[in-house]
Amino acid sequence: MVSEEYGFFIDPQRCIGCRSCVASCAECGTHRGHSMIHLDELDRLASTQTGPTVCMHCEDPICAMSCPADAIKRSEDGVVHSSQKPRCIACQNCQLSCPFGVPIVFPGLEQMLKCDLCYDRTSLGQRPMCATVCPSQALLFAPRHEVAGLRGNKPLRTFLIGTLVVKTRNAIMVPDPETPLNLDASLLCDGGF
Amino acid sequence: MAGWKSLFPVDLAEESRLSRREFARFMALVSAGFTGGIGYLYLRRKPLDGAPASAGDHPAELKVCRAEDLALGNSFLFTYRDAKDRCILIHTPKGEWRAYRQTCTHLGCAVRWDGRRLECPCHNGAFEVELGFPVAGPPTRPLSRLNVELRPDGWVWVHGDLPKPTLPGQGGDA
Repeated sequence: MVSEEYGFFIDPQRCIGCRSCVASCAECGTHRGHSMIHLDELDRLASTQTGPTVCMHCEDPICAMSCPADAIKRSEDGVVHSSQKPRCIACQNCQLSCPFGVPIVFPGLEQMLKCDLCYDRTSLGQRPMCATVCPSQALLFAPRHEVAGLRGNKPLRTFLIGTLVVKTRNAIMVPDPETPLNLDASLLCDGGF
Repeated sequence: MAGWKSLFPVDLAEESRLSRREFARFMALVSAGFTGGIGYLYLRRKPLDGAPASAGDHPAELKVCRAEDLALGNSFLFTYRDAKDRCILIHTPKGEWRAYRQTCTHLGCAVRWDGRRLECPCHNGAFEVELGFPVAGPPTRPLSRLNVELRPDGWVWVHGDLPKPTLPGQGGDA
């Protein structure tokens, strides 16, 4: 069981795009060859900024809500796990419904795999693999009370998707945590392009 | 939360309502219950509720008819244990008395006396009258037989618990 004291903090501002997290995730023995981490170039023409995406572990996991096969489960420490192989039907509902775009249905496996906070490691008190290799600690797994002293940014755990409020276990480090991040994709369509 | 969602909870802890161990325990208890119930019924060996009160007990002997009312070569139908236990009393042409349960040992039709032997009209089975053994048709087992006694007062009595007849020399009282 993952300790409640520890939190996962994602700071896109610190990401240098080295892809160490992607590589280390793919090397993990439990899902060898399949990386669960998305590393995105945010605006490739104008900036070198990259952003890592790992599962935020929602309090009301939309992927699990939308699963027709009852394959996605959350353990009591709040970690949302990969789909259970005997149940998953690779329908991609979770992949389409996740507001963060985390789940991946692998065609060869016919199964959805997602970031499960390296449950095999964190349940034994170790840090997730990506957090151990991140050279700039953009991916930080640390006791919650230590974060304020380590970072200038503040953790944000509440997001807006249209009118839907999504609360998560993992946090994104932002300068102003009082204002929820609005992840509505239609905003990008109107003014972003 | 919608009703169906409580059947498919997101949380792993709420999911397993019935573990393998619980299922095995349930099956073991049900099996033990059946075994114990069968054992109890065997030891009790009385009619259950709903059966007629007279189902378990029957007269040790029964007065059927007067001997002079049944001429040679005729038969007389009577019931022995209860109204459904139909039997047949036969005054054979040789002057002997025989009584059998009417149930054919093939599929349970009522056998009848044709003056020579007992025949079953359903599948053309036939039983000889001396011991009730099958002599034609599909039946393979003999008819259940009652003991007949001609009392000095002129009445014909039957008694016995409908044993299976045996051939002479094989033991038994037939």
